[in-house]
Amino acid sequence: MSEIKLTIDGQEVTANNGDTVLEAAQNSGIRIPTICAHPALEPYGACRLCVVQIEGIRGNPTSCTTPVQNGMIVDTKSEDIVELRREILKLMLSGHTSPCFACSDRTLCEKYRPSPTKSGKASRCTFCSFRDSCELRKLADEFEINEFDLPVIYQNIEIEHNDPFMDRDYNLCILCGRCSRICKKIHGRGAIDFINRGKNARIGTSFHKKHTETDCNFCGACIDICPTGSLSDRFAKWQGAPDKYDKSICILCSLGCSIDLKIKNGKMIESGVVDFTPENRICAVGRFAIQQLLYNPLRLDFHQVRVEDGLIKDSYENAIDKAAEELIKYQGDQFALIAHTAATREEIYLLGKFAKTVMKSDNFAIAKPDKDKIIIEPSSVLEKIKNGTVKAVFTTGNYPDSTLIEKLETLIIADMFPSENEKSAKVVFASAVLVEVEGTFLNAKGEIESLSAAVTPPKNVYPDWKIVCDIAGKMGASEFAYSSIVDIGKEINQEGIQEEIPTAPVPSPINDVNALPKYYRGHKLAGVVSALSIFSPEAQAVKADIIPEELKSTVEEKPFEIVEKKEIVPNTYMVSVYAPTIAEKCQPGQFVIAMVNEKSERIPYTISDFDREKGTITMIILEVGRSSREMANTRIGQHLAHFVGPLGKPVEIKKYGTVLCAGGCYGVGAILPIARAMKEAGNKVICIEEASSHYLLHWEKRLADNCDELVIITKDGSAGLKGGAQDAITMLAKKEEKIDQAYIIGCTFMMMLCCEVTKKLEIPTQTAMNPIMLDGTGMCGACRVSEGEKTKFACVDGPFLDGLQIDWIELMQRQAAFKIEEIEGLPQVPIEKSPEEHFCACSHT
Amino acid sequence: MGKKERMDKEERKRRMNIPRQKMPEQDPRRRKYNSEEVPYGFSEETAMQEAQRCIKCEKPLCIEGCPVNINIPEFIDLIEQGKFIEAAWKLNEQNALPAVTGRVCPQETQCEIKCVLGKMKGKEPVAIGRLERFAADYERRHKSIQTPAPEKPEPSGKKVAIIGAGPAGLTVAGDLIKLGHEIVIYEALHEPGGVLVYGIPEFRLPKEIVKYEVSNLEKMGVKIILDYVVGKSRSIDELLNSGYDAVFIGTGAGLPMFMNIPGENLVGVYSANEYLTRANLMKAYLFPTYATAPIQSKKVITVGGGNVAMDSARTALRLGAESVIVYRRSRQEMPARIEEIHHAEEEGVEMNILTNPVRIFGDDHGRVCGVECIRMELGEPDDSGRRRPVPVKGSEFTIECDTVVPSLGNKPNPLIAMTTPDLKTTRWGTLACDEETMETSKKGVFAGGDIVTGAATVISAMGAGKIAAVSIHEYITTGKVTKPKKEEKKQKKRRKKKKDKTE
Ligand SMILES: Cc1cc2nc3c(=O)[nH]c(=O)nc-3n(C[C@H](O)[C@H](O)[C@H](O)COP(=O)(O)OP(=O)(O)OC[C@H]3O[C@@H](n4cnc5c(N)ncnc54)[C@H](O)[C@@H]3O)c2cc1C
Ligand code: SF4
Ligand code: SF4
Ligand code: SF4
Ligand code: SF4
Ligand code: FES
Repeated sequence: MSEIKLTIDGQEVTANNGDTVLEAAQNSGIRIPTICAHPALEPYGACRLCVVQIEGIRGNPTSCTTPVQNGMIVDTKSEDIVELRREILKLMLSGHTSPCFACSDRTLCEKYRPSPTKSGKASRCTFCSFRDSCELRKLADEFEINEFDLPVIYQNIEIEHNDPFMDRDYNLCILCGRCSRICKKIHGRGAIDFINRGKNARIGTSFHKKHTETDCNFCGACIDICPTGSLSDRFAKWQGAPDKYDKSICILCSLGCSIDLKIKNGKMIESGVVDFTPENRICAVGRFAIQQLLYNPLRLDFHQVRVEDGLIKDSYENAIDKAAEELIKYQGDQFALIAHTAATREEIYLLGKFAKTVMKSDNFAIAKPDKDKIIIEPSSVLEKIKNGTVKAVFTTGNYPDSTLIEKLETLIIADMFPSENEKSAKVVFASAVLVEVEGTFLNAKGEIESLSAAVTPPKNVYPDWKIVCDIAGKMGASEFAYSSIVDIGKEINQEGIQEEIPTAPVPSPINDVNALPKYYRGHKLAGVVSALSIFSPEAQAVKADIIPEELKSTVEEKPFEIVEKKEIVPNTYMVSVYAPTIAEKCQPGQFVIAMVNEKSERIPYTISDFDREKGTITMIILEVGRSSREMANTRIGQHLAHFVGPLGKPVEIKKYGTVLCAGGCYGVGAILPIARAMKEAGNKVICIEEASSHYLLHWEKRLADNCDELVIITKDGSAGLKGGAQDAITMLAKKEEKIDQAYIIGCTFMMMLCCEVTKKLEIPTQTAMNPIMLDGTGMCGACRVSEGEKTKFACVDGPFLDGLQIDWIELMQRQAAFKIEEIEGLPQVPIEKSPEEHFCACSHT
Repeated sequence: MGKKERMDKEERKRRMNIPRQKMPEQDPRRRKYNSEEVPYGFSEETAMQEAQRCIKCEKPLCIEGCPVNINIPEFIDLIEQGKFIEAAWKLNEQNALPAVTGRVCPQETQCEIKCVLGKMKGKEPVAIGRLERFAADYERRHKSIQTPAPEKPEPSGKKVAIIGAGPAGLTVAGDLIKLGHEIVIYEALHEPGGVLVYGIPEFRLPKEIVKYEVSNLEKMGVKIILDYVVGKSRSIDELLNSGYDAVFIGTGAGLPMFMNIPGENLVGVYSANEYLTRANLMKAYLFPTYATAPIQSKKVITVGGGNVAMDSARTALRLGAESVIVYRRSRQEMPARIEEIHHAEEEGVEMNILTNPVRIFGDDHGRVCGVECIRMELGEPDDSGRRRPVPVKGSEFTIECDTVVPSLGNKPNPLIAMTTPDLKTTRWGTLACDEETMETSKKGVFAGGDIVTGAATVISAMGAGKIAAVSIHEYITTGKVTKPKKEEKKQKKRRKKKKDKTE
């Protein structure tokens, strides 16, 4: 290949013939910003961020598509170019949910909201799961974009939550085409591609099919290559950016695919393809199931030994003692060991050696998944259990099946999930598994691959090989004292053991979702990773009865019917419930507690409106976690399981003079009844509606009709004034003679900022407290808030408390008390969109 | 053998020599990790054996000890004869929730302490509580066996509203429905049972039992309206104006007390009510199937020495944490049942007696990281007759922990009193009541249970419920309430004296 010499930014650079200018620059350490380019993909030239100036070439060519030529003089950093890139980026961001960039409170906001809100839809960066890894955001910051000439728009594309593993929000898509190109590259046929043309171009499947109905193999490459939060792994998305990357092998089938691991705090967040090549593509199980297995709520993370009336948790050492004590009684033909294939070579070897040399038994069997069943070979071992020869079994999974278990006197299990067999087990070890284990794996091609223990297992939990070595040691066997896994490997080689090369699955799971691995250690994968049940019809039956059960409590004749429900602006729902006793009594400022079903949390929602005649209560609900998601996914006609209220103290309605009501997020609805009542009481009422951007404004007309003046203010300045509610207050204070009383409802951060201002202006301020609540009747104290020196229970003393005296930092900390559990608790089941969901212009009324 | 016949000496002696039967329990090493019930209950054989120990006293003092006056020797006799279902019916005559009280009553200070047998040298009392539990459990497990449907009483045309579905309210409901009145219970939470469902943990009182007892009431015609906060949804006056002839208030003592020491609002400080409600009512131990998050901690410090503290500390173990109790008096002063203290210790709860928390420390994120405590010594007796604990100067020390559960007891929730102007309260915030009739200061309104006594016991709440039911019946049928006769009065006095000390 001939070399080409050129100059980039004054630097002499050599490149290969056929390289692009971008490649030449990158190879010489000169960075040109890009977004549609990716090392795994052919040049595309869609985003135009990589524009450069080249002497003698007119205009600004995209460096990713321009081949190098001898003597070229390229400038990548001129002021004009940087300005042009900024313009390109701004254009891109204006079609994106990007008001946060133009928000002057952003730094503070991110300080007080260290992780993004777990919303259903990303309506801005603070609500976007990809916030900490987003390439677009990094570029916007690099180019210091903090204002827009064109208003940002929300495209209003239906979010796809109905996929088994992925969430897709094409409102965040910048049309870089990385996803569709990688899909085509890896699979030859693209499951997703550009659909529509021109202005309406977007990414999707043909005919808007669900991915399960397309050629999609759920390899996840599109998620991993997407520079924005459009495509995400539902299980992993809220975990934040990884702090470590590693590589390992997926041993869930004999292919032993290489995988990349994203790790945070020693825990695996996601696995993914290693290099975006067709050869190294992986299947849905390798991509999505490993982390769901490791961090499964059912996972065993303690050891158990049997005492008279059952299994008790016990220390690892005691479990080893007990296992050794049991097993020593059964040496010889009375013992059998059943291992499984999804294990390292070292483990299989050691388990075999243990059976042979310590237990002096030839009964060593391996359980192999074969399509929909498990075959244990050699079958003679099962025969011997059946006819009573074998009385004790050590197994590393859910084997043998329960009918044979009865025949045994002793069963020792090392496993990662509980099983029925435990009922007969003398000892149950929790095992370290998969990417927590170091070792080698013999794949179907006959290659030996290595696994690193990339991820930390739960405390005091060890891999099967160590468990066996420790039992052997306890039983007096000296030849099991290995200092490292490498020594075991050496021993295998020295012994010259003939290892059987496993057969490759046909069809291959990387080509066919119906051929995905179905078992691990004898447990049905679909039983523990519920999303997989979509691919195995027998498991679907289980799912079918889960769903109606959830809704069951609502089927009976019960009150609390949802009579109206609408997504009024992205991620914000208006829900009206028939609850005549509450509607008859409720007063402005009060709230209700709702449980969508019997398993729900008790969640407080402010009453945003009520109709005493129709007997309805209206709430504005922001989808920000599991419980509000349950609410967001209800349907008209459904009955809530529980609905109680009106709770809390109403605000004191009287004549103050001039009353200010400021609302943001769900608070826009909540100030409405207060404004109305205050106006009826003869006050001059000024309302402030704050939103991040124009597309989040709602109910302006309702508010305007119920006050003397409505001030609209947006963080990005796309509608009304630019700024936050606190800026509007400052402005009004200058204009008005006197503001006698303020009511502020919104997120804690917004209320805190407003109170800083009203404190200075000495405006008495009542703010609606929103701490975690449990009962809402004063029984638990979960809702404690510090108001000056006093502790108040927000549910009975509030929700309105003196904003000028609230300890906001403490409140925010208390709100974050369960932030880890909030992520763990997010449901993984796909959600079908509900038919009535749409937003429309009427949100402004 | 009938109880009227006099027992001959030989037989008495034989009976007295039978040892008190043991109730098998789950191994503490196992149970501290599960929420299954700790004691397994008597088998039919042991129950019959234990029943034989009763010497059928002419003057059965045990009955006097029972706040609801269960006819103890009679139900024990039925067990002895193997008539278990009949024994359960006998219990039901006086006690709507025998499977509950058989588990949670402090029998050692009520019926069993009075047992004549127990007063004899070297003898232990008859295990009345365990027998009660046995009969009630037997009846529930064999519910398929035809029980004669209680005769539907003639409808009286009277309507009574009961506020709060705790033991007090349920008892009133049970007694009044039998008299033909229409009964509606209003309950604020989403499940009936009061403390029985939100406070007392599964391992002490399986919720299935409460469900069963409540469903029995519903079968009898009691209507329970959940999710209804009286004082918010409707006031007492509005209830009276909407056709109810009388109202019973059994809203309990559900307002948690805190210590008022620095650091109490840090993340990681939970009232016992919150700690237990998450685990019990909200089933956080089934998270994430159930949505309410459990409190996952490494080390939990529970402050207090009552039943509530024992329940919190033992729940902490089951949530996988190390569990330490800090109590300012000595072990003798602990108000918890001895059995519960014993169970807690057996399971590995560490007891720090004569110790009092002074302040709670937090980290940069406002999360608890330790508690500073001070040692106490016992000084002069205080109002409750117990020696007052006084701090030992300079004895401060710090215990590292990530969770603190103040379990200092509860005060009555002021909601109803606040919304009912003519309802008198005491200076402890309890409702002022005529102890003999359970009438409040408001006509047609009766009250009982913890709302009147302050945090006490299940059975005293039920006892108050029984009195209230009698008064309400009289009130709605005749328009007046008369005080009970002398001899009954005596009993009530005793009951009053026995009010549990809680801490
Ligand atoms: C953790 C714990 C352990 C205990 N252990 C024992 C024990 O072992 N033995 C024992 O004898 N006692 C024990 N007790 C005490 C015992 O539970 C109580 O004394 C008893 O439950 C009181 O009964 P109650 O009916 O008065 O009130 P509660 O059981 O408190 O019931 C009151 C009910 O009223 C409802 N309510 C309140 N306000 C309203 C309203 N405004 N409108 C509608 N409904 C309302 C509440 O939601 C509740 O369901 C324990 C208490 C706790 C907290
Ligand atoms: S994808 Fe998310 S984080 Fe990135 S810019 Fe868009 S909203 Fe912000
Ligand atoms: S979904 Fe992501 S990868 Fe695909 S075009 Fe949009 S931004 Fe690019
Ligand atoms: S998961 Fe893989 S197959 Fe499916 S659309 Fe994405 S890249 Fe294509
Ligand atoms: S006091 Fe004891 S022995 Fe006497 S009747 Fe009662 S239970 Fe039996
Ligand atoms: S939510 Fe329980 S006291 Fe306020």
